[in-house]
Amino acid sequence: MKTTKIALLTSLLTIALFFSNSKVNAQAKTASASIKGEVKSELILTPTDVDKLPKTSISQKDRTDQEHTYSGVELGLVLKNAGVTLAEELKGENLTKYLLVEASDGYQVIFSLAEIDPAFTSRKIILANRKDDKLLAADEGPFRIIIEGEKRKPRNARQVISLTVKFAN
Amino acid sequence: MNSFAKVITTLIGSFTLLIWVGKLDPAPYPLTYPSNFGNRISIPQNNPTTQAGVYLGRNLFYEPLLSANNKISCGSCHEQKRAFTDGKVFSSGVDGTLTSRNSMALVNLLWARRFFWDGRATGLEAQAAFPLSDPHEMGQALTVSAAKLRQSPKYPILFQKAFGDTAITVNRITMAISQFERTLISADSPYDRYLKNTYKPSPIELEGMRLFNTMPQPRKKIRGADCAHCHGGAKTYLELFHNNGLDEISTDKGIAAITGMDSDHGRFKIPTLRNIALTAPYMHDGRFNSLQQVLDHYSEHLKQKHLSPFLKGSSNKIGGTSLQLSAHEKKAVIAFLNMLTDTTFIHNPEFSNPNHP
Ligand code: HEC
Ligand code: HEC
Repeated sequence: MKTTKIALLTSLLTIALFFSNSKVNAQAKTASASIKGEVKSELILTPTDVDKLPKTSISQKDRTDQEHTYSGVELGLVLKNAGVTLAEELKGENLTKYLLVEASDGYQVIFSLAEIDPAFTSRKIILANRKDDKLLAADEGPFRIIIEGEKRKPRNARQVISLTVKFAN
Repeated sequence: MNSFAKVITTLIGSFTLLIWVGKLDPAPYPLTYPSNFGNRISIPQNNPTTQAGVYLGRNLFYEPLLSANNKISCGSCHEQKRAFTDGKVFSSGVDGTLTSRNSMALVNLLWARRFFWDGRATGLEAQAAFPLSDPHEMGQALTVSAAKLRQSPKYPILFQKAFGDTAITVNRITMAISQFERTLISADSPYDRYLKNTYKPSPIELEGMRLFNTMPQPRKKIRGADCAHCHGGAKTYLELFHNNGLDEISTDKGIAAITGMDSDHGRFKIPTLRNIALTAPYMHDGRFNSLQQVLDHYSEHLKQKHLSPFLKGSSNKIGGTSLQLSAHEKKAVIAFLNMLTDTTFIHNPEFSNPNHP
């Protein structure tokens, strides 16, 4: 009698745990970034999507002087895929467009399109999804902006969740 | 057209113009602030800040008729003498139950965009609707509030002055309250005067200011408290949402409750530190009674699991997990925090209850 009770209880508990667990899983969202605003097609990018694109790496020292290699996709390519006016289209009023990068903590940084467009500059800016080959941890990812040769680094925004192209008014 | 007709049309024309202008453009309320606050302010196009609108808003801010039991106004939980907080851990509303979070200071809201501890309201106009209708705060539908104000002798004329006619609508109520809130500018603390070169801080205040603004680098023997990373700038306010290590697992999930992202767990709006000495108890749940306890928290008790990357590893000891400030350094930071108390702000007669001067 006692054993059946215990068995029943344990199986009930297992079922309960199973369900509570699957509930948590159903709620946990995958981190991603949206590309929107003055684009031809809005995009949602996850870190695994970025692995399927041509990748670029940039090495950089952190606060404690340790060198890390960030890899990801060139920001210019992301914008090109979304149909942003770059290269020969980046002229006239399109030169008054800017990219607003936003992080999950509300942090905001802007770039002018010409700063990002490989047709204008050879300085690379990437949307990194990996650091030293590993996907970025939650306190840095899903994406981080890494700018080649940047001296002061507050524009290297972490936890980037949206890229919006806008017109300056 | 004969000259008589001309005169008449011109007269009628200018008269209509006068009414039209008088309706749409009452005297603007001058919002004055130091240039180092910047001009990234938020005023919706359809709700310019006017003298009459601000005056109406001030009356409404202190108006208990806007609550279900005619006893509670915005001013009940936001008292001027406490920099518009209420000194309580949680506030009680019309139904006698407690709010789930600590009341927030209302200061320099002109520069804020997202409101509440979790930033769930965008814009002051939208924010005001929450406490008015929340059953645990003022607990009255805005349409009921509008009807009650229509019955009151003083309001139709105040609405007319503010909006051009006597109609009392739900939108006009929140618009006028927002206009008043935009005028709550604090820019005359000793710290502001120091920035204007009209106040000479004491040695301990200067030391606290330096610590506040410096990132600790123990390898280079640079000591710091790095508060400015999150609470910096002339306004001591950056609109960011972070986890400052209060709990490993937060009962109040903060913005994660909205976004569903685990990385947002226990993240809250970084509050302004203006008038911070007047606004105890502290944090979204009012857990700390004193600034000493706040400093002890940052110095020794940061919970790591969801801690902000700005605070992770920020320490005066190599490998430390909290700031590790000395007792004297904590005192210095507190001395600096006291420099943020703006007595002009808490005594400004323009912000007080117009019914009890
Ligand atoms: C019963 C107490 C209570 C009343 C009444 C009340 N508030 Fe609040 N107020 C709070 C609490 C508590 C919070 C924080 C709530 C949260 O974050 O969920 C708050 C937050 C705010 C904020 C956000 C500040 C910021 O920096 O994000 C504003 C603005 C505000 N209240 C304005 C008002 C106005 C206007 C009224 C009257 C229409 C009002 N409050 C009435 C308790 C109250
Ligand atoms: C990572 C960003 C960050 C840093 C760095 C930081 N804070 Fe905070 N601070 C916050 C956040 C977020 C809150 C609100 C947390 C909550 O209530 O859950 C807060 C709350 C406070 C409060 C309570 C405010 C109120 O109205 O209740 C005080 C006081 C304070 N911090 C002082 C300091 C001091 C002093 C330092 C430096 C030793 C510091 N903070 C460093 C993010 C930060």
